[in-house]
Amino acid sequence: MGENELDLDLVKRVQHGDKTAFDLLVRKYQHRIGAVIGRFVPDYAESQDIAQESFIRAYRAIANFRGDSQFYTWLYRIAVNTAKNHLVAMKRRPPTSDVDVDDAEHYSGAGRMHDHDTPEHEMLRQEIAREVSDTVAELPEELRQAITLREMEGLSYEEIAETMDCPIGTVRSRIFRAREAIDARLRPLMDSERVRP
Amino acid sequence: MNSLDEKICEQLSALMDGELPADEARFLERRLANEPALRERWERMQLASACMKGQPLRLMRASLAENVAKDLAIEPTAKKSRRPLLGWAIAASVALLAVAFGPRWGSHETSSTAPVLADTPVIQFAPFVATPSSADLVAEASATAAPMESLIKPAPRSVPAKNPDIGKPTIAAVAGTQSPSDFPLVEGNGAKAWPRSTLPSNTNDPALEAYLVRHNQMMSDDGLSGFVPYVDVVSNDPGNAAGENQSGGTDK
Repeated sequence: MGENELDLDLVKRVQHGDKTAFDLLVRKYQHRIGAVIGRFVPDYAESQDIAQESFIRAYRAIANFRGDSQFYTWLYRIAVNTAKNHLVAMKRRPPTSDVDVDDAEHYSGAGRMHDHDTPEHEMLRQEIAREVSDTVAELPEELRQAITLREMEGLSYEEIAETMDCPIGTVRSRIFRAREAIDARLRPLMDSERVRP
Repeated sequence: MNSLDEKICEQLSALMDGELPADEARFLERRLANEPALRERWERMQLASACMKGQPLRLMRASLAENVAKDLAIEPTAKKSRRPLLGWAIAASVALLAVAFGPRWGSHETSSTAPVLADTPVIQFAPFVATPSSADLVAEASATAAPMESLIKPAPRSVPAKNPDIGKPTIAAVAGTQSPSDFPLVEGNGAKAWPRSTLPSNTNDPALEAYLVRHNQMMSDDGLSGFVPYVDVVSNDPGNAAGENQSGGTDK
């Protein structure tokens, strides 16, 4: 099951009335949606409010989501429209050109959006990225290979098992242990008051 | 973290990759609904995943997901709507009813309004003026093929003359006319007067007029107004029925 299939599974659960499934989608995509909104609304507090409104709108509309597009693409458009509407409501001019969702991940001006973050958030973001990178580099070879094949290459457990010549259960365990090591380094950072309001 | 927690966290990792069996997923969903710490762990794992993939991020406050959850608590549950299906069913039913009963409704209305129409004043049809083109065509046809004259019945134009006083053909003139080329020219516009009908212009037949009005009314009620009004209605001159039966007057 790919990432989009997993999202669609969560969406189906939301459509059957499971609000916890929507909470998982919010927690999964909130930082990426924050980056999208930051392109239109640099102010951090404003972008926080717009992100919240975007998710509420997405929840209200999710009953009509049929899965024709990827869930993130759909959410991306809602976030962009919400940000534009916010700018119009504030009598500010929205940007005339959009960045397509596929290009947004590789948008050359992506670094620019971080300039508008508070120094604390920018430091935290850099610290998290560094911790993740350092932890992966320090992992034992079999864990590093498993997590890299999964996260960077997007291979399924079965494909990783074939590549590494080991059972699927071992792949699952190795990926979990790699994530466990990364999480042990991230938890103190995320629990800090810097991410709290 | 005890061994149970470790197992749960491994399941969470597999769920994140879409590799968790359905039965384990259902169990984990219940845990997730009741354990905020597990959901926070999910968030950290997703954040680490996005960092490894190099996706652009802007760290949102931890309160964002909590605030969204609070707002959703008062929102109605997002259930998938069946309205589109219902809408299609209603539209199809209405269309079926319209096709099945539409024309009958029209005829019912006509029959109910027929007495009223019969009492309406008789419509006086204005004489028509033929266009030069149609008259010339018929004239040419009559000149080249004289035997065809008896077969060609010039179709009157449905456009009434702008000035009814101009070029009013008399019945005698029309009766004596053998060829359209013999018709007198109208002085005002150079057109030739064209015999619209052999019915006497002063014949007021209420039954016929009421029938024509009723006929047109019925056709428009049936939704056929764009087609049927161009079909000629054949009528007879009651005073000249014997002589005209073979040729027949035309009207609309």
